[in-house]
Amino acid sequence: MDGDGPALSAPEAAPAAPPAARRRRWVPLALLALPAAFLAAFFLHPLARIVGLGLAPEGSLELGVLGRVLTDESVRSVAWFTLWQAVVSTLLTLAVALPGAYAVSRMDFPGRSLVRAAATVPFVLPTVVVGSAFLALLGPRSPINAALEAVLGSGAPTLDLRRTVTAILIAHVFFNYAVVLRTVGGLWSHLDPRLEDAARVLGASRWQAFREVSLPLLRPAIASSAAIVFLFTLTSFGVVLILGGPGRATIEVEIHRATTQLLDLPLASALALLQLAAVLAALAVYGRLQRRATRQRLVAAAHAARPPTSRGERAFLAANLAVVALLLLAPLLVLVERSFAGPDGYTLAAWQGLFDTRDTVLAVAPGEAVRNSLLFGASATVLALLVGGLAASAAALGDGRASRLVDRALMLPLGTSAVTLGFGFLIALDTPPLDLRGSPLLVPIAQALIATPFVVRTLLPVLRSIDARLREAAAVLGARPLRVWAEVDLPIVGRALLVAAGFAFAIAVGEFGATVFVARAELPTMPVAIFRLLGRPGVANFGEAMAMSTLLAAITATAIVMIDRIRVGQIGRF
Amino acid sequence: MLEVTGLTVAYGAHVAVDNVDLDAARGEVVCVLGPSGCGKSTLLRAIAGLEPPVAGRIALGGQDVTAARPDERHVGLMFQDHALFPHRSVGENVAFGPRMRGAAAADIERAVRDSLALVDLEGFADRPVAEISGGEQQRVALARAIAPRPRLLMLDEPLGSLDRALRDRLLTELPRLFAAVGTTVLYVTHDQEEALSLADRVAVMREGRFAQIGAPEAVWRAPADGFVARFLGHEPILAATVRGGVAATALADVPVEAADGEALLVVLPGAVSLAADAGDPAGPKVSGEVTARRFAGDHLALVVATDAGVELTVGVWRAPAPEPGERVDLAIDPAEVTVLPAGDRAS
Repeated sequence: MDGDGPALSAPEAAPAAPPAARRRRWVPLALLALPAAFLAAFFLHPLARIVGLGLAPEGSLELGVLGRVLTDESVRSVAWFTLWQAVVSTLLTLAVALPGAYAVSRMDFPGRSLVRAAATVPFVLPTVVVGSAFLALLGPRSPINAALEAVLGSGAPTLDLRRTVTAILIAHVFFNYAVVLRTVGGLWSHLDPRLEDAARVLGASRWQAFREVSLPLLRPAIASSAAIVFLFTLTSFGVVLILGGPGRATIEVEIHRATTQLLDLPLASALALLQLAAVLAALAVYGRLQRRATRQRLVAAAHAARPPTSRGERAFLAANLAVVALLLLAPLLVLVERSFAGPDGYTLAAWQGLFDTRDTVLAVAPGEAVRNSLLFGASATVLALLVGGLAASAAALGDGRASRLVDRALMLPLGTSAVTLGFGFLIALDTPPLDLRGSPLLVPIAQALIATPFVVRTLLPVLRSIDARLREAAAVLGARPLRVWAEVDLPIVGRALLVAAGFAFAIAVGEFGATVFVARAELPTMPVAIFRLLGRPGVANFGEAMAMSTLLAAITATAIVMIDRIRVGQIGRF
Repeated sequence: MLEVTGLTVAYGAHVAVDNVDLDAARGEVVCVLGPSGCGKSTLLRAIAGLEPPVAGRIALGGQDVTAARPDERHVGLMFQDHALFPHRSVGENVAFGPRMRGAAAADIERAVRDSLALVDLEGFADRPVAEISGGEQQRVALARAIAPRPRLLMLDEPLGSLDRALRDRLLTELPRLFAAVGTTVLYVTHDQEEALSLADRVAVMREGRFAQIGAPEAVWRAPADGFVARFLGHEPILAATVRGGVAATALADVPVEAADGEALLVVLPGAVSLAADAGDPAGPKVSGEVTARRFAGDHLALVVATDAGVELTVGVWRAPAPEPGERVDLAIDPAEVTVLPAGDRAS
């Protein structure tokens, strides 16, 4: 029997100091050691190298390169294109997704949750898959053109939007529709409908009631979703790389080109610094917007939605469902369809080709990339859970200031673009003691770095939400500290850990921007393999890229669907 | 002023308001009283134009508004829990109605000032609604509803969320305010005290229909059926057989004015007193044992288990009152009972 009480259960502890208080001081610090080391070695160090190379390429401070880059005509046009396409993409996404957010959050119709889930799928798809899907949908052999030909005969004009801004913009709307739908729709579905009712009774028309009451209350959500979409499109890489053409490059694509084609590392560094400044500015605006929200009472979502009653409402709903079907589902269906398309009817050739060793594009059979992706993804998931889990635990234990600091520090990799990270790895991790040149380890490390913020964001709210009295109750009932953790914390956090693992895995498997810099030629991941296949001429390569994209979409979608099934409450949101 | 005929509102298969007729004269205060979920809020929403009726007709001031939009009806509705616009100040909330109706700036300002004065909130115009107390929010909601001078003012459980002291004060202030505004009032509540003290007429609602409509005193003294009697808090309600002007019940034989046959005998509060205090010594007497005493400030409530097996509550206003365990004799005042047709005791 262990009836001696807590004082004797830790005989080493000096009896004078209250054990809980002294434990609280060093435990978070100890937990933070690994995340801090990880962040220092694989984020701050590469970033410092980029700054160094950008500001002092020869070892001494020299602003010439940066100045040359900033005044260079082609760089300025790239920066201008990056900016305007991001602004236009953001506005277009809002224009298309805000009515959708209203339909899904305020109208009650059969299949509502299914539509909401389906609309979320594009957001979790790897950018390379999005690029391939629109390549298939907007290319000359798309079903759109088949339909045109069927209607207009053989003289029909061929719609080919590949390598156009239009294709990039449409793909960005596709990709970011869910951001607005979830952020704005999430708030909208909890907005008290009686506020608009009150306005109506007081004499406001339907439109006035929206403009005077709902719109101001939604403004913070609209603004912050716009900021997120802007950030995503500002750092868009995979989509632009695949769908864009000459003169259609973002800063991200230029960093890639400067590194891999021009071999001009100082130029790439200067571009990365430019990108970093833009991202930090966008993040600052976002943080500011998040702090300004009207305090209001929210209601259960079930009370906010009503079935459409008038003919106008039904037409509005139908139009939005059509948008979801056309914009969001069509590209994915075409992607799958193209993977089976052959010169004469449907065939399994592309799928068989994936596991064919004759391939010359990749040093290995494309099927190998599947194995690589799964292995790298799993390693990255473990690493991200370890780093993110420790950091989140430390933040949850520490006081408010420490926890905010951890939160911010680990959000940095999220803000920094993936391409910048990948480029940083390339130039920083090549000297002892961290000489990982050509090491396959670089891939999961880079992916983990990108996935860690999501792990922290998923775990921290759950860890914080555990009522301290639960732990106290367990302790009073006789559980030792480790037992308390196992009996109270672990079961509650267990589900959140699974969700975090699913997120991390989906992100790692689909990661392209950083991976493309650090993956070795003979160990390509699926996104890298898709990109290389798309870069080659020939129907066979294109078909294999479609097949591989389909497979990758299926893998990430599976991970996300599993998350949605076990997700509890509101965790894992932005 | 308000004429509702055959109004039916349904959500799918659930009929919330079932073929209801209701009218209110200009300046009249009508209270709809009923338990939660009886359809009384839905009735208000339908009159405001927020719920489309399945059938029936709604007329305001002789004009059919059944198909009119909410903003065309010119009614006021004070929502349960207020539904104040959280992003606007007190003054902006009150100004909303006049502004939507296109009033001139000076008129809006006057409407805000007058309405806030009526609810005793002068000087609150610039305060954010999130920073005022629950009682103040309740007054702002009222001021917002009356600011556009609606022809019909509807209030949905307006005192529901307030503490008792505040509620009692507003209960005495509201009649003055209704008189000052001079508008027709439709007031919905589940609290019989509110309804009986405010209303010119009370409409008791049950499962989407009106069980009884009448003056508060008439409803109180002569409930239409067992449901109304129970909802008003009358007890006990006893099965009785009336023969030759005497109702035979398990408790006692009570002289009544009713036709022969099966009936329900409703014992109104105040019918039972200690035999020593009884005003009418000729009334029926029962005996029993005090089982509990509850101190209610100005009086003591005794719970007495009668020998007949029926539990009675007796108010005692003078000391010393009997202690639990003591036997007491009780008198029943035949003027304070009422007889209902039998048949719905179970309801």
